[in-house]
Amino acid sequence: MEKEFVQLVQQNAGIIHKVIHLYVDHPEDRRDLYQEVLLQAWKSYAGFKGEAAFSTWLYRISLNTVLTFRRRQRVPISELPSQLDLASEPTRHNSEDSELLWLAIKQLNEIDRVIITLHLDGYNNEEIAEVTGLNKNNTTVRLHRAKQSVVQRLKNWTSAKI
Amino acid sequence: MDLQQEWNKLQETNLAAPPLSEIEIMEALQHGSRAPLAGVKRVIRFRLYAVIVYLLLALGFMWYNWNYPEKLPIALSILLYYSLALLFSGWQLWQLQRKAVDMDGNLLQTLQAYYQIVKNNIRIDAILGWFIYPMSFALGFFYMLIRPDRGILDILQTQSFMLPLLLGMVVVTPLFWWFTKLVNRRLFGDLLEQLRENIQALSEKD
Repeated sequence: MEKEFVQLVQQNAGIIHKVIHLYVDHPEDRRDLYQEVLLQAWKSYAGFKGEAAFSTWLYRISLNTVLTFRRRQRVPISELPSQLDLASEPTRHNSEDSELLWLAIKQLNEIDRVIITLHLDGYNNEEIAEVTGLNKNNTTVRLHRAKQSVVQRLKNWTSAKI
Repeated sequence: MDLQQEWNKLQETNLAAPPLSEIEIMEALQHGSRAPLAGVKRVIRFRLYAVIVYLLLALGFMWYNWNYPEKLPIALSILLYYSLALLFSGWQLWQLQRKAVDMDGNLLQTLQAYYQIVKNNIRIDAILGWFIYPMSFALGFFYMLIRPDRGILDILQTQSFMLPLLLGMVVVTPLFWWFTKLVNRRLFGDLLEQLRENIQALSEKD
């Protein structure tokens, strides 16, 4: 069972990495949370019956663990980024638009961040509702608003740049 | 800008996870939990150990006062009192182990369960404070004053003893109660606020 778990986690490590980076900026918190998510996943693994895909299950564990963890520092939501501070992110060759998108998502409230990230990762509204506990109608409305908010921010920033 | 396209780019670049080795995973599994719930359990476990130490001291008092009949009832009360505290802390810890939060459940349920557990434990601490501190103070006070020629009834009838006892209880109880609240607020205040905000956001009706 342990070998199988390790393999599945290795294949889906990107989910843990993404969820942690979405909410946590402090490097120590990130390290602690990475270990905590793995620990919680292992503790719950015996109950994983394969009804949902492993990736969806791991998404739930990651979100639940991160959002119940006391984070050292919560990023204040400001209207405009004073600078594109992605210093805490690994900077590789990247287009500026995707950096702006990341920043716009991170400025949403914590729940809208879950909704839009799940949506962009290809989950449909019903699946998002299952993961979050929202009802389907609420999910649709919230997703629409979150998208609008992201688009609006992106518009503001790109027009300010010009 | 196409959001989906930019998101996919992010997944391949900034959000691409570094490879996770088997050793890293195994190390994480051997690590103790740092989750807040584990913190709540640690606090109760610490109290449990403290109660065991007090209980041993109370047993020592019993043994020491075996030939001192005036002090025996107080020593016995202290022993009973800490035995009750031991049972209560043990029960609280057992309840916490039993009510493990389902980490693969939906987000709203998990946040609510987490919030309730942390909040209830803080509430129990606050309620306990109103009993533990005045009782401990009173028992210690009587224990100190009892002498072969002065029993508990004599002390209760002496106004000069009763006044400091009452004053002490009135000062000590809120002081320690406030201190407990302060410690709990520092330990779990931010977390409760964070959980409350997210529960509210998930429960909003559109």
